[in-house]
Amino acid sequence: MNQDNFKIRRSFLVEVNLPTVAAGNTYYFADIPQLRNVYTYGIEAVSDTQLSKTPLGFTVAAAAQIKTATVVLTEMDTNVVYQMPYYTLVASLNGGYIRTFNFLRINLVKSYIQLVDTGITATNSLAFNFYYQNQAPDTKKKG
Amino acid sequence: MRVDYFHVYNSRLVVLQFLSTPVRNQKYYLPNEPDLDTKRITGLRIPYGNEIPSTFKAGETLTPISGTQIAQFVFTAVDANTNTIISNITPYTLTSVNNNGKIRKISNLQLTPSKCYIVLNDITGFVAGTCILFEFFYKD
Repeated sequence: MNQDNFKIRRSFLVEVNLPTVAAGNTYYFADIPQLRNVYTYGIEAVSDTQLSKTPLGFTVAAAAQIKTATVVLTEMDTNVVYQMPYYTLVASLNGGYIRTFNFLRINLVKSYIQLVDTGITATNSLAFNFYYQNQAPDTKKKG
Repeated sequence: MRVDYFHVYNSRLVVLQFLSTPVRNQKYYLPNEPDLDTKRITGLRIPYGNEIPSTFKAGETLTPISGTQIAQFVFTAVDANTNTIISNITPYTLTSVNNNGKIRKISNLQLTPSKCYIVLNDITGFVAGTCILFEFFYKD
């Protein structure tokens, strides 16, 4: 998908809480029924600059600390995105571009955040806007 | 050179004004805008702070939200069939000034503004009279 032509079809805010913080820790995404079997074409991560608190009431990780987090996304049982820096997914830090993906069918409960260092305050959360569609992409346009 | 094309066909500014100090975790719906109910929404932008003068609405003094307050709520968009299309999107995403001037494109969705709402996760600084503005771009 062309980043310049990114359009919101459906979106869902997903949050991952970090109850304790240590380098190497992994934090799995929870199951979200609305995001089962969908085709994800964009993911945007946020820091406390973009969202101060999550809908569940957790403080979002500070902008200066998000560099300690990486993201692993899994399709079925395969890590298709492995240890992508969280920073890469923050649109306002990347020219306003929402990072596009090739209509991934993400297995959320097997996807996770991995910290590479301490810094994020324990009990803070990370949050993502998942952009998706329910129907399979037009194979002529995919990619 | 890549250029982000966004064509403005029509646009309308919708104002959500708090009549009293708002409450956290409560839904606040956008006002009814019948002219938008049948339109295909192509883009959405939330201007704030200095982008909008407090006197832009004749006879009223409005208080647009600040750059800090833009991070204190989430926005949900619903269509005429009450399907949730956009769930809890961060309004920061919908600002142009923080996203290199981009207007976030919407995929020609027939949203119903009066069914769309915001939820405040943090009410700091929100008082009676505070406004959140939504600029809907659409095609006839």
